[in-house]
Amino acid sequence: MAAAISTQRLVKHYGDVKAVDGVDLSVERGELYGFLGPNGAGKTTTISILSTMLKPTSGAASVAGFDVLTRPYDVRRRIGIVFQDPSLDEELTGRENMVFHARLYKVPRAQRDRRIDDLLAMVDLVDRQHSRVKEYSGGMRRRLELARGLLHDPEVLFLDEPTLGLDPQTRNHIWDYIRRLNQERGVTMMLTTHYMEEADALCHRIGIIDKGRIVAEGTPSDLKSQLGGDVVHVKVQAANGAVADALKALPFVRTVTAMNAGVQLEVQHGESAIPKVMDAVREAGGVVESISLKKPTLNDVFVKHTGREIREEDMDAQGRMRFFMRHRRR
Amino acid sequence: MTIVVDTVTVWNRDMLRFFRRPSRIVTSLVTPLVWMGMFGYGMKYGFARPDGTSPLQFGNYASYLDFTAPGIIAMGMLFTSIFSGMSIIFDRQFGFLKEILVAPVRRISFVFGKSLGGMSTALIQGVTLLVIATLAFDLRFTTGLGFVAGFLLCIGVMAMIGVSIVNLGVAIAAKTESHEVFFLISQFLVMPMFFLSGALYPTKTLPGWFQIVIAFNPMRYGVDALRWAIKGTSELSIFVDVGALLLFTLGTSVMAARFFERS
Ligand SMILES: Nc1ncnc2c1ncn2[C@@H]1O[C@H](COP(=O)(O)OP(=O)(O)OP(=O)(O)O)[C@@H](O)[C@H]1O
Ligand SMILES: [Mg+2]
Repeated sequence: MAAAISTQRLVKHYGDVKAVDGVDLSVERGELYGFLGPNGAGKTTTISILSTMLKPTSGAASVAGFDVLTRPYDVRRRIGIVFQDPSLDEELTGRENMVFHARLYKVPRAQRDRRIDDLLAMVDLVDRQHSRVKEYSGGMRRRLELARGLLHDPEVLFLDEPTLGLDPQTRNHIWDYIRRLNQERGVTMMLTTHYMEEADALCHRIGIIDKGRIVAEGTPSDLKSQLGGDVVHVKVQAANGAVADALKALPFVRTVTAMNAGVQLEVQHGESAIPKVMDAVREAGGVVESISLKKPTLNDVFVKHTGREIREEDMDAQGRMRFFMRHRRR
Repeated sequence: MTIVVDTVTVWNRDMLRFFRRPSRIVTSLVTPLVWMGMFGYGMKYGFARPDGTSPLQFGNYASYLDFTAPGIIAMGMLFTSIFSGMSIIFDRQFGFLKEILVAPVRRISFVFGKSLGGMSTALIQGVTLLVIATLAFDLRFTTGLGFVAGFLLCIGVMAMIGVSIVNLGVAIAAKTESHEVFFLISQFLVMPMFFLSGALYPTKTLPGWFQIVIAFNPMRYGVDALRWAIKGTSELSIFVDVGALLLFTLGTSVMAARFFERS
């Protein structure tokens, strides 16, 4: 079966800026693929090319089985997109925005109203469907855009920073919708984000992009396990050499470091290791006082591959700024 | 076929937006009515001779307002229509244009939908002004066509003015980033188009170079055709007027479609 999204050495230059610099992607049908990278990494540019809005400098790409350059209209009919920046008509009501979209995509009349009802219910906007979008909050707008992107039953859905600038509660809501859509309808999704935890929580597979290049790719747990496993810290009363020796003997423990009043272990699959670690300590005559688990984060992965951090605080400031720009009124 | 459907979709959106803001209808009427009231009446009485007759009363024009009202109506439509074209700049700024550009529709249906929408608003404005000018001001239908035929011809001419000027606006908007620049360019175009259209004074006796400039102004034919449809007299043949308007409408349509396609 052909991939839902595939690119070959995709390149887009803006003058001297190499926005996309040789990207090879292959996303399977039904997959939820995450594109993670800092500001200016080339995420939006890639999505613009895949959605036929932008011509690449070189390279090839196909979406839903059609070449984006030679068959743009076939691609367009099969994709949905939630843009990074707003794209609603603020003068129209939520429902009118939906109807307009249904007409553009030739959703059959017989299905139109029911589909709109269903989707508005899904994003909890039934009560506000007849208010003008002008009067919507940022989260409501985002949810409406999400519902609109699904109205024509796309095979592939692009989500460009779907939760940028939203509060944690709304963000969680949107995560739920995204998961459900992917599971229940089997929609292939490509999502961009610079929130680590978002990519981690949602995506089957992640591509980390930096300066137009994919620097690492894999499932979130694969990426993190490249870093040598989880860190378990065990605080032991009456610690002695026997405890450390017993732990060293466990097959899944990679390293044991003695600390004052305890040991730090680097293990594979920390969750399943913890009970076994506790048993081993007890058998060696120690008493476990407390135990903690620290998982490596995607940020550690990003650091490993680029030597830099995706600094969350800076991102959030920028995200807020963009959010503000996005919602400035006429 | 799908182009027609998409054009109607875009037109429908413009209509929804228009009727949502009744203030827009009112503002589109205010300026022309102020012109008719203040300028028309001012000229009528300001130049009156002691015996009550006026030098601006000539031919079959009962008063200066009777002469100038068709021109003022055309002016009102000119201003409204050029700014209907500008709305695509706002669609771009507010991001809504992306929704249309990524959809499986031809760009040309967007341009057609916009000109249809702009034409509709211009017609609503033009017809309302025509009715008010007839009922409340001195405008008299004296055309040999009779009132109904004259009125219908007015609507046809207004539709051509609407479509062509909206398209002119769309063409400029496709090439300009900001509405400030659009404003500048449109002022530069619209003012001469109004003053050199024969809306305010007859042009037959003007010097030769003036005549040449005026001949290139499409509004000149629109005003002349409106006057013929209402008063039954005009400076040019109605066939020349309508022919020139059709040509201008066609030209601006192609220009708008081309420019937008490439932007
Ligand atoms: N229209 C444009 N003209 C010139 N340069 C551009 C244009 N669009 C994007 N770029 C540049 O291309 C690079 C990639 O931009 P892109 O928008 O794809 O980044 P991104 O990964 O989406 O970032 P963000 O997280 O900020 O949305 C940036 O350096 C940007 O300045
Ligand atoms: Mg982006």
